[in-house]
Amino acid sequence: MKYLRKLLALCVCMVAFSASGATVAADAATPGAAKEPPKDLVLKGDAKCTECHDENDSPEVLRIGKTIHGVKGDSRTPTCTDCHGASELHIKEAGRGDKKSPPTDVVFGEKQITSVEGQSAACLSCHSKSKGQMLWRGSAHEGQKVSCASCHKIHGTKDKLLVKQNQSELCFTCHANVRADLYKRSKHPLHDSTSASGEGKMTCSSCHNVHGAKGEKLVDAKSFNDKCFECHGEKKAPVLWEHSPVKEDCMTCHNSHGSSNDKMLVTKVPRLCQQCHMQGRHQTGTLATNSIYAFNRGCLNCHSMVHGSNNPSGAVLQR
Amino acid sequence: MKNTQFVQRALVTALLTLWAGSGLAEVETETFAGKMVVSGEIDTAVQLTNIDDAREKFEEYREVPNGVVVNDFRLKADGASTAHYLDIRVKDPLQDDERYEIKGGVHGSYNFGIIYDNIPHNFSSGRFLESSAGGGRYVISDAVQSALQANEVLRSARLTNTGVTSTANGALINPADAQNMALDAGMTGIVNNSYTAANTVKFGLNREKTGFSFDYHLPDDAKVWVKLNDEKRTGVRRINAGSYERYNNGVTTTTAGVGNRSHVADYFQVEGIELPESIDYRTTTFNLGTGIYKKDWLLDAAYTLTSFENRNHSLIWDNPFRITGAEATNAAGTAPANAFNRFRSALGQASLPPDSRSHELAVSGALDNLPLNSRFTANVSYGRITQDTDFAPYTLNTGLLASTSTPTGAAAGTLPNTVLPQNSLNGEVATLFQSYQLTSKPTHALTVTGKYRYYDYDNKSDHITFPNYAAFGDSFWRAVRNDPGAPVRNETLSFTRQNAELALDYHWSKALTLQGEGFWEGWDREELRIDGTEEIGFAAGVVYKPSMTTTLRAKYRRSDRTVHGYETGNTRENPEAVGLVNYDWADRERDKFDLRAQMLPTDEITIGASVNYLKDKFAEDARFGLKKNRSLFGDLDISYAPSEEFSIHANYSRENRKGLMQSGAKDDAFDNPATATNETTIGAFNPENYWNTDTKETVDTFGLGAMFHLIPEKLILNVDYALSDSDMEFTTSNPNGSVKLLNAAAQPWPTVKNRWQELKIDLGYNFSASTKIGMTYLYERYELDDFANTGAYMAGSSFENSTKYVFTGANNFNYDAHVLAAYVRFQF
Repeated sequence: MKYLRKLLALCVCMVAFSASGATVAADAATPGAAKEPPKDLVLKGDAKCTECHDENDSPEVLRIGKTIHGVKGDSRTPTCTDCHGASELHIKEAGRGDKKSPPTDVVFGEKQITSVEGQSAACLSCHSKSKGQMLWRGSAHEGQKVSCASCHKIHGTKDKLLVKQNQSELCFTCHANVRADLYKRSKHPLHDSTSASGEGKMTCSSCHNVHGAKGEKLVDAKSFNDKCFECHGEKKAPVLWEHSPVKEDCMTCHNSHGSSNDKMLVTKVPRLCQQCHMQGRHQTGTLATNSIYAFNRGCLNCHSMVHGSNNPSGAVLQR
Repeated sequence: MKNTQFVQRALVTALLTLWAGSGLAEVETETFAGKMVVSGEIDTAVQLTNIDDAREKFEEYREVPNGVVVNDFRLKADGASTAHYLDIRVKDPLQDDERYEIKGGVHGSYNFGIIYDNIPHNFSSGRFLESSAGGGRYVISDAVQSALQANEVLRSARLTNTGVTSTANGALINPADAQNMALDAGMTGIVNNSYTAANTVKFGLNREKTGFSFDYHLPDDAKVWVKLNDEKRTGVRRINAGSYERYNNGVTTTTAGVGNRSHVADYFQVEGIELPESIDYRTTTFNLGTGIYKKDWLLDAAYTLTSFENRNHSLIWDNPFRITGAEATNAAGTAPANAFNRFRSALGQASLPPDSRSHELAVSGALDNLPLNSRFTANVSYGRITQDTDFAPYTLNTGLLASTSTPTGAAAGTLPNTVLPQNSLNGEVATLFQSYQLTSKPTHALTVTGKYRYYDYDNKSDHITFPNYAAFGDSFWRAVRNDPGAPVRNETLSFTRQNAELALDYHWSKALTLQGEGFWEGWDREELRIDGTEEIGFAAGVVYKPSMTTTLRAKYRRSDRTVHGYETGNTRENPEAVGLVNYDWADRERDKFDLRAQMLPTDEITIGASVNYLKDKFAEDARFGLKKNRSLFGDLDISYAPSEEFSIHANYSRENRKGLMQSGAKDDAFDNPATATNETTIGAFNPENYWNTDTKETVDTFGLGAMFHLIPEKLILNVDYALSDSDMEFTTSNPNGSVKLLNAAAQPWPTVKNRWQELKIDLGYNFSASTKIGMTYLYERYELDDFANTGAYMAGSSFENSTKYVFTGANNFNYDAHVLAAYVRFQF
């Protein structure tokens, strides 16, 4: 039954595509649809650039036609000069002998003469109108002088026009400590989204908005906990007997990027619990390795409801 | 079953390939010619796996099956001259980790998306003595229960250290010594026999997510959107229920100046069961919003409804050791925790996460081009979370329900009250979040950013005072919540958190940017043992770019946190030891330093290096708790790509983490706040029983990879190797020399070791620009050496007597995996 459902879903995808393809075709065939000017190769008005930058000179330049920035039917689609500036000198000097022509007004990339702010300004001229980038100014990445082109290759072919194969790989370029965490014993399913055998069920942006966020650490939520509750919703509601860190800060006990301990805990149980709890005799021992308070799930062998209990007899989080 | 899956996957592969092929053909037809651009990819493979040991850990978040698989399928269509688009993606169809996604619409006009995603989360496998009767109910045969009950060994039958039957409360009994374990032979034999026929239980969850989204662009830069997501989470994960009884309640004697006690050790008997917690959750989220996005300002508002439904509100199981319920012996004891022969309910129960519903209204806005080249943004949201799931009864122990024993802590003659004061919590939380940010650039060289956040979590749930509750494994009624005698009354924890920061960026020169920052954070808490904390700090940093090829980023951050109104220990409000301060509420001095250098010395070479340092010092004046925490991380990444046909990259990082905690073993007399400064003469936490644990973790991470074009543009070899190797050492010591209590004596813990390795080899041949065939080989090995990972039944080998604790032994995570695949990738 389950497989039938999945096959059905697959068929729906295929039919949807076929149907919409027809729609697209029908729409495209509407009389009066705009036609490209003869000399423009990819973008409207690109003729003055593609005159030199053709398939032979730099195939990468024309690749933009296959990206989101090359959609001809979208009135928002930029021209070359919208991003690179009018670049009069560059055009004027182009092709004059062997001398290399001066760069365009705006050149993107780490090793380019255009300042980080200048590069990003070109992108923000359109993207500041979007909710996703509304908090870019003043954000951690802007403050660290990371430009849009540090992460995105506008003429690239990868998803989200990233400079690397996937998000994790890109972020690890600077955040190597997170990469190390993701190889540890317990972690979220971010590992290697591009490999056939990879996990890739989450990406860095599942939790973070790298373009600026209302939460700390670029977490795209009101608080760390609110982000965690999006997937771990069973811990969100108020319960009869609360364990305060659960509602205050999940990071008190967990490292969300990964840990050498089970369940992404910051310290091994029972020492983690013993750092805050000293009431009875059984919880304050040094505990040999064959103590039931130390092996298997440690304290959780009895206090399993560490995230709170809604049972009238659950005051010590046992049920 | 496996054959069926093979056939299904083969069919899907054939179907997708044929369809992709036919789609390609269609592009060339009159209908589509010149009207749309169709592109896509299909990646399919025949795969062979050989996995030794813990397949669940190898497949923790994925399925790596044998046979024919479709790794990826994508079909994209874009209008050649219109803004229409459709993007279909399928990943791992018909596998446990399958994902289907359709996006489409008209750029700049409307977009829609449909997604179906399966996310497995496999844990491990174990053995479980009981069987599921559905709906979170687990049963075992009456015969086993009867036999175990008939062989039950009561405390009165236990022998003292001198080999006589104990009759006095206070006699020194070690229930786990050889003579007492011999008494348990009957029970142990029955349980061992039961394990031989036990069911295998595979612990794992599955998230099945379905989502729909639609947004529509209105004139004048306005937009409306709607999103609907539904997640079904099913499966089982480990949950435990257990209790203990202390086998020597020695009479305390205090000798001034010496701190002698009447006994040298605390012995325990533990009882319990490890169970599969039945998970059957539904989470539905509905989001509706609208906004206007102008160049100089934007404003939007959104409403979100989240419904969480748990189809199993409770877990009920047969206690393998009892066919009839009984209360503990000496259940009417007036001193706390004196009852023994516990955990004798025939039925156990636990309450699982309750249903809840939350609403949130969020408004966001931004104003740009303000004076001084400023931008102001604001986010405000109000939320409400409710929960009114019916409570489970206090207990299902028929012996306890019929008890006439006075609950511990109640006035003499008081009878247990089995009627709940109300049927649900009437849980309600209101949240208010505000976030404001003003960024100005008054001069070309200076940027000023101010941020303020406010988060109020107001728990408006009912306060309920319970007359008593079923304590210590449904063993006896207790009318007090803790030893200092707090009433059985819930706390509705609330807090308000605020933080603010002011940051300055000054472009000293084209190459150098100086950064300064000041910040403050305050927490106000209600109904906790602490009133609040306040943290203030500063940061200084630089971004230095001496050339276009080198960038250096460095930042130092220092902060001090102070605590207000921490309740003294050994009180009803704070039952923990006097002198213990929880690290998340402790005074803290924090130093943090981050350095990152990136160099591109030539066009071929990229070098990245980073150092991250963090040091926390907690509550210097406090005796107990986490005292220090330090981590140091260093990394070096190098890549060399001399041509399009050859590249190599390597990375190495080392992380050192150290923590120091201080604790002490509790003796008989409880800590007395009035005499807390003189604990050598009185008090439960005698300095002679103090112990400290140093935790030291070292993690090495290494990666090496290369790409070669063995035949330029045709035959390409990719090889990648990754290693993560960690050692965690625990060193426990007694700072004040020899100890009075055996429980306080430093215990050596072996080093916990984790080692994960991955080798990936991909040899691919490009037949054409669109077709590639190849072979991949994946080798993964994971080794975990952790003393905590024990077997299913530990009777006779644990420090405590654990004859009556049955685990599942789901603790094997080591694996050795080989995956060989032959693939075809076809792009069109």
